[in-house]
Amino acid sequence: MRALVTWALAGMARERGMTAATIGGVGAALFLVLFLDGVFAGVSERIVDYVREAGADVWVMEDGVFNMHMATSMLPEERASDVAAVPGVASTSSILYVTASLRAGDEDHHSYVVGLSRRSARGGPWKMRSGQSMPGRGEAIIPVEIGARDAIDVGGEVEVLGKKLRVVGLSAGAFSMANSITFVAEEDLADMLSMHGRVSYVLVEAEPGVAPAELAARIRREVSGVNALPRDEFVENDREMARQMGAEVLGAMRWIALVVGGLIAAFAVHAGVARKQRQVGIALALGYRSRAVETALALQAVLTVVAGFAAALLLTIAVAPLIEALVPELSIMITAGAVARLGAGAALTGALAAILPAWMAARVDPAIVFRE
Amino acid sequence: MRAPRSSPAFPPWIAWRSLAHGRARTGLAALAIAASIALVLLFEGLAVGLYRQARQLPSSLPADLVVVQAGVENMLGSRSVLPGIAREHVESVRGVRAVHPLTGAPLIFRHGVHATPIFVIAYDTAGGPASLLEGRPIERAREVVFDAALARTHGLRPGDEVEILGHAFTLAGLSLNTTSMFNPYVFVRVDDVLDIALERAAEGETDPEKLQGLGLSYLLVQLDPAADARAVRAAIEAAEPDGDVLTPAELAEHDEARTRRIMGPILRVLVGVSWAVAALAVGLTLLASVSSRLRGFAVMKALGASSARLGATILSEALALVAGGAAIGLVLGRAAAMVLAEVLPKYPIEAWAPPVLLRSLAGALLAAAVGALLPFRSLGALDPAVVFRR
Repeated sequence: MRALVTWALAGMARERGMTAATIGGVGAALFLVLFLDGVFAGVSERIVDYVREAGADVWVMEDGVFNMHMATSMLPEERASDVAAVPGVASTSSILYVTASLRAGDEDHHSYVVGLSRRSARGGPWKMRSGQSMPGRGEAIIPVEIGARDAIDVGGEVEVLGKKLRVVGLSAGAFSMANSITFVAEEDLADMLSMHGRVSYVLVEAEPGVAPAELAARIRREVSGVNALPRDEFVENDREMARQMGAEVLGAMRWIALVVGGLIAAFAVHAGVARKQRQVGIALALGYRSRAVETALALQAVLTVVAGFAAALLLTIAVAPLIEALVPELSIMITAGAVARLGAGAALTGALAAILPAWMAARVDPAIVFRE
Repeated sequence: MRAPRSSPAFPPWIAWRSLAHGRARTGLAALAIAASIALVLLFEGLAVGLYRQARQLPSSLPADLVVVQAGVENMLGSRSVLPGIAREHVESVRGVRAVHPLTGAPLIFRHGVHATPIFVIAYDTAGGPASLLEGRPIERAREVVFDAALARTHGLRPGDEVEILGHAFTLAGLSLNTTSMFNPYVFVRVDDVLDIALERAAEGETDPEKLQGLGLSYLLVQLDPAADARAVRAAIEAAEPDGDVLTPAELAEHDEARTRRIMGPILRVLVGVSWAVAALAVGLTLLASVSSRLRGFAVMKALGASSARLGATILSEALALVAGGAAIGLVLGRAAAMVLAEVLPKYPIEAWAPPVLLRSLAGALLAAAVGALLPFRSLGALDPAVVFRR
């Protein structure tokens, strides 16, 4: 048995080119699966960054509205005061919000335009690359990715809803496949929309010890005409909405990649092992038992898959930041769950791919040695 | 002297015999190539389908010109609001035969526990769904036509009741070519929208946004047959300073461009990665297939076969494998696209679009040729004595 294991390993080492090619095939297939999984996870998360990072424990909006992505919510300003008076509310911040085009240079970008009041402690950019984090009248904060793409720095000019605004800050993490986030002064956005005395969302901070779900239910009970949701539920609703606008197809493609990757990996492993048929014949002619030969071949398949898995992991880790730098709309998130799933899938693929050669090995006629 | 076609020395014949001999290996190799080709077909087909989908609705508008809010260039993902007086302004322009108001707004449709972003189009005399898959056009008050893919997603059929703008509507029909990956189109009559606004006023609603209904978004302009479209366009822009004038083709072009801007970068990466993996897989498949039979080729060389003949044999084998793999790959790609269309009907995958097919096949052939000929150098330097060593 030991001799056969040595034989399997030595064979892999001797045929370095073929071994590398086989591992490369398995690695490429597994890379595809891991990469798509990372893209799906990254895009799904990036789309909800704003609602997650805005700093609210509870989101309050117009009754009948459940999320932010593509939604329209308008509340009379007094509702924000009503919400602030609910027991358990530590503080509130209001934002005005509309989905509109941001014109930067010659390009239009689909954007969440968020109107911030100087009184608001929440709802603004959560990470700044440069400039200031609160826009005044006639000012805007745009994502750094748009600034880079359209050569606009602090001091440059953009246009929102027909109004020219001076860029005073570049924010980080506010740019995704589905949207970018532009922060402007609430008064400016109210002027643009001819909508004074209104807010879109009220961001609520709960008092210490007050559960967000409980507070949201209390706000729904005590303030008329509003819906209130704890952050996690609001984020989940937004993720579901965004998922339906493009991300879900990535999810489906991920499964297809898994099937295709599995097939390619299975072939690569099988090809690597099936080439040993004549050597198997020699081993059997020398009196080794077929179970030992099968084990040696299975070991070779497992080693190939493990090496391919490692290659896929390293390649993804190396390539992901490069692609993210080249394509800022793309966010690639390699999660431990995805790596574990891929590992399990690879193990299954390797096992299945090794079964056929092992089965073939068991049936090899030792006389093959003399025929070929 | 050339070998006859039935001769064992004829390269395609040897390649064919070799493939037939190792049936399991050949089958698996063809399947790996097929899977790679299907992968590329799916990703490329998705890109082609999405861009074509973006053009469908605007390009089918029954108008010579479309008036939109000044500065708005798209239907997709944009809200256009025109002043109510705009219709009179446009109708007063010489050369205009008819003007049809159209209203459009993005909304979120909820049915059961599912919510989906949609784009509601309220039409009056023109601009409704151009073709129906099932059911009938709107004939009565409070009826609605849903995009067929949207209806399928929510399990809706004609006759079902749905809630739009906070009111109950009956689903009259399911429309075709009105899907959008961002927000599928839903059609209602303008009269119903106005009725809803009036009802709200009667109930004491004071919010001007809600009382305006969805407002006026677009004007579909039909011209006199003899009119000079360019001159009429300029005259409309002068008569209605709050509006811009576009042709349906221009709107379609802008919507496609917007889809390319939003989805293009990510699709390019996905297509690129699928190409890289597929090319690698096809190349390595051929490399593995050829390398595993170096001994056989060495025998041929020992028997006097020239390097050119060996190369021709290998290429013949690659061609046969790619042809077989491509045939299976086309079927696999199409089948996967059909399955996806059932599961996610909003996303059109045109896996069999001619440019997609051509690119995929050409790419597979190139990768196969490279993969097959990579071991060729070692074959050229191969010592016939290897026959006795291996």
